[in-house]
Amino acid sequence: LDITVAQVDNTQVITLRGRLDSSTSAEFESQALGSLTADQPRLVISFSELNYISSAGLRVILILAKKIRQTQGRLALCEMSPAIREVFDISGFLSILTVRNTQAEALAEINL
Amino acid sequence: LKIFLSIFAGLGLFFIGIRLMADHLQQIAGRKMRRLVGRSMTHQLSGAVFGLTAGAVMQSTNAVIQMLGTLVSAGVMDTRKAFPVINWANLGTSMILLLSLFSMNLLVLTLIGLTGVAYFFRLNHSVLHRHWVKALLGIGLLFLGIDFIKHGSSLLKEAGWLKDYIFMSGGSHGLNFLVGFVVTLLVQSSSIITVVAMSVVSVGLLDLGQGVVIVLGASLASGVNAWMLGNNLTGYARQLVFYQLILKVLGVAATGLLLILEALTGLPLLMTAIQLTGISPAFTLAVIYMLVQVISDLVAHPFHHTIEHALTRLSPPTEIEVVGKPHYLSDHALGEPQSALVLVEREQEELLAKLPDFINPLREDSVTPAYKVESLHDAGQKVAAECAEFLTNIADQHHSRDVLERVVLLRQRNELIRSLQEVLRDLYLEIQPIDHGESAQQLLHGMLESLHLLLLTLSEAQAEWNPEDMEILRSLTHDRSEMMDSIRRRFIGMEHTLSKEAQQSIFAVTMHFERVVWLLRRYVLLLDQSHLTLDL
Repeated sequence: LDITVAQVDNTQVITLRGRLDSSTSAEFESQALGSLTADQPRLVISFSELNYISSAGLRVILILAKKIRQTQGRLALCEMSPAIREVFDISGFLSILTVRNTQAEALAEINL
Repeated sequence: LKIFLSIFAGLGLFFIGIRLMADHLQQIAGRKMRRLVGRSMTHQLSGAVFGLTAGAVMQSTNAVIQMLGTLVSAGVMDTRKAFPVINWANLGTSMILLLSLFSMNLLVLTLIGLTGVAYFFRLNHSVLHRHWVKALLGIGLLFLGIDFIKHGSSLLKEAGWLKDYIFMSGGSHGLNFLVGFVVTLLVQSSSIITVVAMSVVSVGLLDLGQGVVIVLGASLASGVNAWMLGNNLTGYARQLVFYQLILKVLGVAATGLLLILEALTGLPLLMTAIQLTGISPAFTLAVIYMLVQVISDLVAHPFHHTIEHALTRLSPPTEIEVVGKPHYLSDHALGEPQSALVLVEREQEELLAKLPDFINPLREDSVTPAYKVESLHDAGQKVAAECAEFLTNIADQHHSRDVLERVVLLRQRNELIRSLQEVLRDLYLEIQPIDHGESAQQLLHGMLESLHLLLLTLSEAQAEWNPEDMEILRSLTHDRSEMMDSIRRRFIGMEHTLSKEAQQSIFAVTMHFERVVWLLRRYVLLLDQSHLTLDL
């Protein structure tokens, strides 16, 4: 798994590339939690180049969502392939998380 | 023919009596029996009393072994405590021999008469007394059977064919041993063959030595009977039957060697000691039968560690026995309802934590599971049943409102866990053998990962309740029927790319998925409710 962290204005943008599974989720969790330094963190996660996600990956997304909610921050997910989107849909995540098609839409949603 | 029918009828009455007595005494002890037995095994003395009584009442060490096998497999007791019970049960079966030495006419007549009076007053239909009445009838028939056998055996001295056999056998010990062995294998009871031998010896048809050899043959056959029973058994239950075989082989071999040594060298050993007491030949056979049991115990005792290790290697515990043991339930806690309820919750946490393993073999992102799904299911159902029984016992003993409310809640959770185990097993069996093709594979991946996440999250939430997790779980377990409906419609139209079998499987899998999510939602709501009850 390749994790790229970038700063766009006041928002952290994490781009994932490869597989998010039990062997890579711990690294992603630690990097993502490490990037939430602001008082009210804003985070966008882009799945544009992610080709596999397992329950371990979904679990980290849940942990991040919880953490951000506790600190009254904002989280948006974007650029999911149809396969990844189906996993999120079946898991019920689409009803509790903000998911947008493009990174621009996600950034706009977060900075509303 | 009259002799044969008399003995045959005696055997029939004996077996009907044994079955009636054992079945109805077990019913009297009811569901509490297992708990009582489990508790009684905490002391060596109580184990001995139980073994002696069970052997005497059931007149079949194999029946006692079957009962012990159930207890050991259920985790109520371990094999180390069960082995000595078998020794005592063997000795217990000899009680009938001592009783048969006395005339039982009066006892039989009294018992049958008493049972008749009970039937006249229709006590056999009374919920309170019916098992006692039928157990009493069983005891009466058992002794009546022994009386018939003794009577038939006493007529044997008139039987020409038996005289011919005795003449032809020329007192051959090998042949008598074989007769005792084979007839016991057929009749399945060494004690009843010993009763026949005692009768035949007492009327002088066979001499004492011949009778002793028949008893030895019968004793060995009872071990072989146990071994034959073990062919259908596995794990701990099989260890118990092998233990019985080892005991019998050691007992018969050691007693036989002592008797041979005494006969060959003239050293005053067993027979000399018995004859010094001046007891009758029939009584002597009863004593020999008992001595085989005692000697087997004495010989096996110094090697019990070696025997235990050998049995574990020969028949290791099954997966279900290993996984299907409750970790927390303990009868000692029943007196303190709050602690007992906490133990049930801990046990349910364990069961929930195992649910993700039901689908792990189907997932790409998982390690090879330690146990087969079928074993996890059977073991899980067993532990859940133990929890249900434990909760019933708590409710029986404590009637305060808060305890009963918690019992009801935990019972509902227990039922949901059992249903989850069943649906997840069905889901596994539905997916596992079928090639669903690439188009359906992605859908299955989504469903499995989703379920895995839900099961993990619920397991964590049960272990450590917090309102945020519960809110997330409530959201994640929303109704999926519309979503699953649309998936089913999508796959129905794919007959060109998906086999009929795969389509049917997808249909079943989506139904199972829907049901699991519904059950999880019910569980989440119950967790919320439990928390509210605790707060109150």
